[in-house]
Amino acid sequence: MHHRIDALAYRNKLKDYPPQQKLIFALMLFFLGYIAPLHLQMVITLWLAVWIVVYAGIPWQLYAQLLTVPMFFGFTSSLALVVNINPPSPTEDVLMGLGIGPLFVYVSLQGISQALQAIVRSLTITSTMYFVLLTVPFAQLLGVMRQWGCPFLITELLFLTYRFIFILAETTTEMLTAQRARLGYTNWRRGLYSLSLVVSQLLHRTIENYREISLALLSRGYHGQLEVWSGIKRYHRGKRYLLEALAGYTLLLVATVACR
Amino acid sequence: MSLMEFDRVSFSYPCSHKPAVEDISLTFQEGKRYALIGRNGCGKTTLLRLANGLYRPQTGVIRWCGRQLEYNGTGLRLLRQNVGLVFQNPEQQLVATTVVEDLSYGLCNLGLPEGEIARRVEETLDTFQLREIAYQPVNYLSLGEKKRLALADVMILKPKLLLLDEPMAYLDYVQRAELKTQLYKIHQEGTTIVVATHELDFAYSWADEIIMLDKGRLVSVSF
Repeated sequence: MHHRIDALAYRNKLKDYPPQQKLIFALMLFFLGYIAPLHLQMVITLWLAVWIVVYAGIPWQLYAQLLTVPMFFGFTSSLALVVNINPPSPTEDVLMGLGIGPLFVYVSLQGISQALQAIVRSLTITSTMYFVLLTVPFAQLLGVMRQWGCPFLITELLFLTYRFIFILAETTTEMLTAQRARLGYTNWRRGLYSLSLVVSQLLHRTIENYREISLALLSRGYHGQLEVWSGIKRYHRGKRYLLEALAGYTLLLVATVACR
Repeated sequence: MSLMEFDRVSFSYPCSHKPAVEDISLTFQEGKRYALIGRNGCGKTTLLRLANGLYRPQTGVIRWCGRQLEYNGTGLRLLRQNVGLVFQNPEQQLVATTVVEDLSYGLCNLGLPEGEIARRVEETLDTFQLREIAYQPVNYLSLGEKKRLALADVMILKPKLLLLDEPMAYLDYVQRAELKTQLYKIHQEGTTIVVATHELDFAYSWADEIIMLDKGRLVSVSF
């Protein structure tokens, strides 16, 4: 999944638009999504879906799959808000209920409203994050972070983590394939044993890889800081998306203020 | 003129009872092409890493342009500016996210001004035919492209001595032919080249001198 998201970020139709603009747009929608009323949060979520699926060309199946993650967490955690257990007492906050001995288990109307708000808000805010994830390639994101003065330690850690994820994923895939080719997963028992071998070997190989990369860094003159020059990439100068973003955002902001 | 000289150099890895290279004495002359051959584990990679200052010999001395290597910041910086090492596995050598960033990494370490970095990166993109993939992430390059980038990463520093560890490994015959052409070109431009290889045909047809190692010892040097 990670590889697919990363590959799409490098291939999507918005990749050649300035990353700064996309990040500012996502950040502004993030804050607006936090304070906007429920129906406007739904509008923001839908609008972002248009940006991601229609403008960026991300397959809708993948986007829907990604959205199930915040929805799953939202639904499972909102159970506590929706279902209440109280001693039987007169209350108007009951949609339906059931008396069990001295207790009354019921679905709370207020709880449903709170859960709905929490789910929609998390969906809106996660959508802004997905917009960045799916339309801004990692190298551009890192470039902007450096440009905006993000501490060197953080960008360097991100930089190395990103590189290592690929190396580890590739090593794991190779080992799993090699094990499958030698019938490593014929039954549950052998499967578990094979998996344990992968885990232990992965640690060993990670250390080995780390050692080799350290040597390669030294060989190329590493002196304690991973400095690079990102080049002069020429971004698309079209104003169509910029205008739509500005106009849409202004409308949403005005609507939010009016609703308050 | 002698560029690098190994004088009775020995080196053992920690926790190993056998030396990886033992009592090696040899000289790399300026402008020549050397092929380092021998079986797996005979010490080829160790020798190249000693030449790049990544390992420090336990006994013996290595000299660069007649001066003994100094294993401090300044000495190693000077050495690595002049001696470039291309690793066998490019995965371990490529550290940045895009091709351009990876090319610029060594130049940034040298503290060159941005204008000079840009000029050299642009030049290298053309020389090594990397222009089309300049802004692509290194993770998605093919193995051939990664190998080409790894070589370009080192050549952008304009080293006097180029060390290549198994450059032909994993390459198909077209990529091998391209690499050979590239090496001829690099040599013609005045760089001394040392290649550790298993390809005997290539070694005998390309190199001016063949250095053969066995179990960490220098067996023969033939012309």
